[in-house]
Amino acid sequence: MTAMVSSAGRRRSMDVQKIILLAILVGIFVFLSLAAPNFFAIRNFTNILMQVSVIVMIASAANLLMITGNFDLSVGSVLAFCAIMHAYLTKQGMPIWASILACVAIAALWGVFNGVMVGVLNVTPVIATIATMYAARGFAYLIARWDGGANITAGLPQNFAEFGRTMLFGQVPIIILFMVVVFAVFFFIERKTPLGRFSYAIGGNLSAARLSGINVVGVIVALYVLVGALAGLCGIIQVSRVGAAFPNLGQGLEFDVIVAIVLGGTSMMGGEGSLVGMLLGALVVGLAANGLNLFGVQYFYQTITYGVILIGAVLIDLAVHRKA
Amino acid sequence: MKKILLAALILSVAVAALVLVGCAKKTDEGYVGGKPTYVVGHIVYTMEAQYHQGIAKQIVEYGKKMYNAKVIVLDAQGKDEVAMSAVENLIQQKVQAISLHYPNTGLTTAAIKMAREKGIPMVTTLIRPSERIAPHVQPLEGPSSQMMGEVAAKQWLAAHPGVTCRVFILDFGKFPQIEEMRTGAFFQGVKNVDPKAVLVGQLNGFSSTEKSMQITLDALQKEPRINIIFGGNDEMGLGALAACQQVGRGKMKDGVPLTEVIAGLDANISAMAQIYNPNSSFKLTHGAVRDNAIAEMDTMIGMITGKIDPKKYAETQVLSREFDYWNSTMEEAQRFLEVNYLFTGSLKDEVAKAAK
Repeated sequence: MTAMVSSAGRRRSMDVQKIILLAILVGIFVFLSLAAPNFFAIRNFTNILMQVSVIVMIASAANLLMITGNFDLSVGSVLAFCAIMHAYLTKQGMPIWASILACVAIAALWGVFNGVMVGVLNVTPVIATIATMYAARGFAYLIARWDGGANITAGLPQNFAEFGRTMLFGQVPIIILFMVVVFAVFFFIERKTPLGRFSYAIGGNLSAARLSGINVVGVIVALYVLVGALAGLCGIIQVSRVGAAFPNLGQGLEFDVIVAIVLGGTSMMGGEGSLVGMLLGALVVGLAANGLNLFGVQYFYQTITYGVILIGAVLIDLAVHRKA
Repeated sequence: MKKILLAALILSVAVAALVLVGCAKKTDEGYVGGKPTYVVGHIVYTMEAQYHQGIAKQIVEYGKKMYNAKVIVLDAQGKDEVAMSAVENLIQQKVQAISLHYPNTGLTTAAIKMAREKGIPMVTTLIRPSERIAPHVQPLEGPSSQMMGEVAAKQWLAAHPGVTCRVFILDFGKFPQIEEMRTGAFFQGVKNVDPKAVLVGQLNGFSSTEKSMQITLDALQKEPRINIIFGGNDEMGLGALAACQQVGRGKMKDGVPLTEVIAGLDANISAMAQIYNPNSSFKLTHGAVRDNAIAEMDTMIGMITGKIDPKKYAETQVLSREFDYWNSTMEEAQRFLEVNYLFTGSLKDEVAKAAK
């Protein structure tokens, strides 16, 4: 009975959190529509969605991972590694489609490494994924050096930028479509599949999950592989949008992903979370960034704003949980 | 199973480490007499940029060839604490002199004093320290930036008479000296041609192509009439170009601006490939790599041999050569890249690949 009440209480607090987040989102939207120049325009909304797409895609898998009580700090570096690798391989003559598949596979291998370190060898996720973060970024710089310079910008195939800049029906950037598809897939996974249920079980009570026969290691490794693969795909999309490969791509992305997830109500301790909440969190951050740029606000004020948003979200989370 | 996995992982890491060490370039080879005559240190602001990599390569090669000197290159990674650690590292290695490029003027002053306490002279470059107490190498960026602004404005107004220049700038976060030498000078150049020119916005591009792309997309949304964009370095300029291209801009027709004119800085290979692409709106840059590196190296050796007073501020100025589509030839650019970036390819081929 206590467990049922507690579970119902957590669900209620999640719903309240989402409502609050939605209210914040609507508030920011209305404010910017009235105050910011050219905010209320289809093109601007497209920009915002493009800017949050990478975060939402990676956070869709990372959210489930955090629900298990683990997280991945290497996503930005894996993204950069795959971006550089994609540029390097296509410059050497590999067809674009083959390079995409190869790079996503390599990104998944980084995920395997993380998963094995965390799931099998019980290394703390922070340490394991920070190690990958350094290694992947280092290899990104190394591959650029093998190519002869600081980055890979010259000598790329003529159609290199096509993949990331494809517009569906002439209007919708392909990255937005990817975001929608990935989000939908993980929404389904979270709600309707054993992987989703097991993730909650593992995060809720690891021992109980093990005792009930859940393959905890398999779930954790699978989630790290998915996060890695999505980071790789995002690297390929970003590098083709930019039109050139720089090893500093995705700097700080891991924190953007964590902010979106935490803002959405997912607990860093595991056991609870929401994909919809993550999306709302990402949109809040995306809207804030867009609005600050439209106002021409300097960078230092922007970082203060992000800090305030995050602290606000954490305080709301605390308040909501206390009531529940 | 776990033990086997752990053992396999440890073995893989050990093998990878050995391979990397083996692949690492041996730095004590090729010196006259089998060992270097001098050992000096060079701290790079960040190895992420082609420009800084270019300077590092030039210093190492010139130092070896001219002075039989070994140059230890360290990357400050754009971080204050890493820069200071690099200085401490070089002091620990008892190098005979240090050259430092770092934009934090207080940090560079502190670094000069720290090295001086240990008897190691230091030369700074690009950004003058807060206290002028040591030799300094200064590329003359101000006149070149202003010239770029004038050329950009002239070309825009020639193609679009009467359309006021609306300028958007990507900088590094409002460093006063960058304002003086690059961004402010560029805008002044635009105003020299079009007194009604408007600075629409100036935001931090983080020296990142990706971030500059995102910020430029927002800037273009805020003010679609932006027609001149300046990136504080080529990486940011290229990010602005990527943003323009994604919204159907970034275009020229045989050098006639259709949508905007974009300028960068550093004169690197990627920038030149766009500059000489007649249909790309990225059209101007300037840079000084070789001459800067030579001046730094000469100053370090001069201080070591007593020919230059390490405690006196003396500024060695270096020309930062301006390149643009309309006034510089591809052959000149090719030569510049070969000399400065040790480029061994063909700029013509790179332009052909970049052109659509």
